[in-house]
Amino acid sequence: MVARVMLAGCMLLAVADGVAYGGEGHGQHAGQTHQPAADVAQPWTTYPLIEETSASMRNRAVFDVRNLPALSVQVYPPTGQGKFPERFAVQGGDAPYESLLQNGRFALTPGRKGNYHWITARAEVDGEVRVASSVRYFSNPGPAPTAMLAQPKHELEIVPMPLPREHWHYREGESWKFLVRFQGSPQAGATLRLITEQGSRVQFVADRNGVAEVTIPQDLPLPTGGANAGHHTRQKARFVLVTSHDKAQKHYVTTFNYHYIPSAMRDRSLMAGTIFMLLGGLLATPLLRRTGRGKKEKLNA
Amino acid sequence: MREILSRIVPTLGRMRLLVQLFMLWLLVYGSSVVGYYAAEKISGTLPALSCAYDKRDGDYCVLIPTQHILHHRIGEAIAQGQEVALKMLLPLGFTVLSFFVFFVLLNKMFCGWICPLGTLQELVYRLGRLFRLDTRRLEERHTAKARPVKWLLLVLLVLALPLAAGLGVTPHETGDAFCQVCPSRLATTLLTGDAEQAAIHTGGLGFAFGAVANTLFGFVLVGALALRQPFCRICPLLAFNAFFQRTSPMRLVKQQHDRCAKCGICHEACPMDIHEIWQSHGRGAFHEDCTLCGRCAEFCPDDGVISIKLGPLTLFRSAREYYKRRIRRESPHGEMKTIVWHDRKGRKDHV
Repeated sequence: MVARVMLAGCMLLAVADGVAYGGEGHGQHAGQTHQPAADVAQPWTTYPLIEETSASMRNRAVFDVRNLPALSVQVYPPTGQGKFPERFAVQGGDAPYESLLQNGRFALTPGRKGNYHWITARAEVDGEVRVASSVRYFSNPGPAPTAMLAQPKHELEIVPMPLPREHWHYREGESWKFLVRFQGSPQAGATLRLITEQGSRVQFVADRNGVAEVTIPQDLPLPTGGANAGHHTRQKARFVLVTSHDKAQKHYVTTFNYHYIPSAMRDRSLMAGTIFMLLGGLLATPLLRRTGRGKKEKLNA
Repeated sequence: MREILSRIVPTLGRMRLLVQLFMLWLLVYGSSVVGYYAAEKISGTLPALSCAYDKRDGDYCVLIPTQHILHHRIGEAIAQGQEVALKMLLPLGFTVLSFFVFFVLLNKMFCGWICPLGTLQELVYRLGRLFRLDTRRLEERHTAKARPVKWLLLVLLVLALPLAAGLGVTPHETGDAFCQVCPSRLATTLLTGDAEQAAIHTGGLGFAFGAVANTLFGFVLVGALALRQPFCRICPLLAFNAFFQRTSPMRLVKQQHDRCAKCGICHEACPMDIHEIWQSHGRGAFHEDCTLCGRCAEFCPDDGVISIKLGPLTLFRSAREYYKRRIRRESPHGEMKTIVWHDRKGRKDHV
C-alpha cells in the first residue's frame, strides 16, 4: 500500500513537471565533489534513479535507489562473448545476480572480471512497470560489455551504444547514441527525454533502428574551484534519460541515469595551443638552414 | 607470386614502411577493427607511444598504466599510511609482465616499426626530402648530451612525478606528467580530427604542461623535416624498453670486419645517429638507442657483417648485392634517388 502511494505520488509529480531540481545548490555540490553526492542532495527529479553515493570507494560503490519502490536490484557484470573480434578479449566473468536493498541502498563490488557493471531495479504497481538502470565502471580487466549490453534484461530498455571507454566521459556538447528496445526489439520513433541536474530538458526521437542520438546540453555552471582542479575534483552533474511505452494496458517507464562533465574545450584555448605549436616550429627552423650537405651528397650520388 | 611480392616489397625498408603505415592506421583508428571496447583490453601495455586520449585507437602505451598505478595505487596507499602490500604492487607486476609478452617478441622493433609517432616523424622526414631540404645529423658530442635526457624524462615524468602526485606532494595534474607533454598525444588525436588535446588549459599547471607539449610538438614537426626522429632520441619509452633490451631473442648482431673502420655507411644510415654501430661490434654495436629499423644492415656493403636475428634464426643479413640495389634507390641519409613512374600500360619510366 505504501509502495502504491509512493508510486502514485511519483507519477503525479512526473506528469506535473518531470523534474524538480534544486537550483544553484546542486551546481555547487557537483562542482566540488568527486562523485555526485546523491545521498545528501535534494531530489532533482522524480523519475526512478540508481545513484552512486559519496560513500563509494575505488572497489566498492554504494548506490541509492530513488523514486522506485523496489526491494532489490539486479547486477549484470560483463560476461559472455562479444561479437568478433572482441571474442579475443578475456572471457568469463560472473553471472548476473540479485542484491537486496537495505533502506533503498546497496553496495556493489566488482566481479572477478570486467569493467562495466550494469545495474537495474524494477517495480510494478497497478499496471505501471517502472525500471531504473545505471552503470558503474571499475578498473578491472575482463570481457568487453558488448554481450552484457546486448542481453535483454527488462521489457523496456535504454541501452547505451556504446558506453564511454576508459578515460572517457559523457561531456557537455557531445552526442551519444542510445538504443530503445521493447521486449528485445528496437523501438522506431520512441521518444527519449533527457533531464539534467541543472534543469535542462531535451527530447530526442529514435530513428527506424530504435537509436536516438542524444546531445548532452551545455548547462554546467562555471567552476568555483579553479579551471584546472584535476579530475579528482572535476565538476560532475547527473542526468537521466527517460522513455515510456504502452502495451496491453500496461504503461512502461524506463530510465537510465549517469553523470556528465564539462565540455572538453571549456577551460582550454585552441588559439593559445596553436601559438605554442608555432613557437616550437619557429625554434626548429634553424635546423632547416642550408648546410650544403644535400648538394654534396647529390654530387656524390 | 614471388615476383609480385618482390615488386611490392623489394627491400626491407619498403616492408618496414608498409608495416609502419598499417600499424599507424591500426593504432590510431583501429578500434573499428579490434572492437570498440577491445581496444582498451588487448593489453594497454604496448611498448609504443599509442595514446589513450585518441578515441579511436586500437591499443595503448605501457607508460599510461605505469603512471596510473604509481599515482593511484602505490602513491595514494603510502599517503594514506597504508602498508604497501603485495596486492598494490601486483597491478604494476602484471603491467610489466603483459608489456614483456609483447616486448620479448619484437624487442625495440616496437620503436622502429610500430610506434605511431616514430612513423609520423619518418613521414615528415620524407616530406623534407621531397622539398629538397638539407639533412641534419647529430655529431657524437651531441648524441652524448642527448642520450641521458630520455632517462631523465623516464625517472622524472613517468616514475617520480606520478608517485609524488599519489603521495599528495605534487598537484594532481602531475599524475600523468609524461602524457601531458607527449607529442604523440597531440599527433594521434589530431589525426582523428580531434583538436581537444591541441587546445591548452588556460590556467595553472595545465597551462604550463600544455605550453611545453605544444612547443615540443611544433619543434618535432618542423625539426623532423631535416633531422631524423628528433623526439625518439629523448623518448622515455626508448629508455623503458632499454631495460629489457637484452632479454629478448630479437637482436642486432654485428661481426667484426676489416673494412668497417674505413666505411661507416651503417652510421650514415642510422636514423638515431648511433656511432657505436660503426665503431663497435658484438654487444656494443646493439646500443640501447637502437630501434631495430634495420637500415644499418640494409646499407652495409659487406656480406653478413650486420644481421637481425631472432634466437638462432637470421631474419635479415647485410649483403653486397642487396646493398647495390638499395643504394640505387635511396642514399643512406634517406634521399630518394629514383622516382619510378608507371604509365597507363604499366611500363616503367625512371626519372
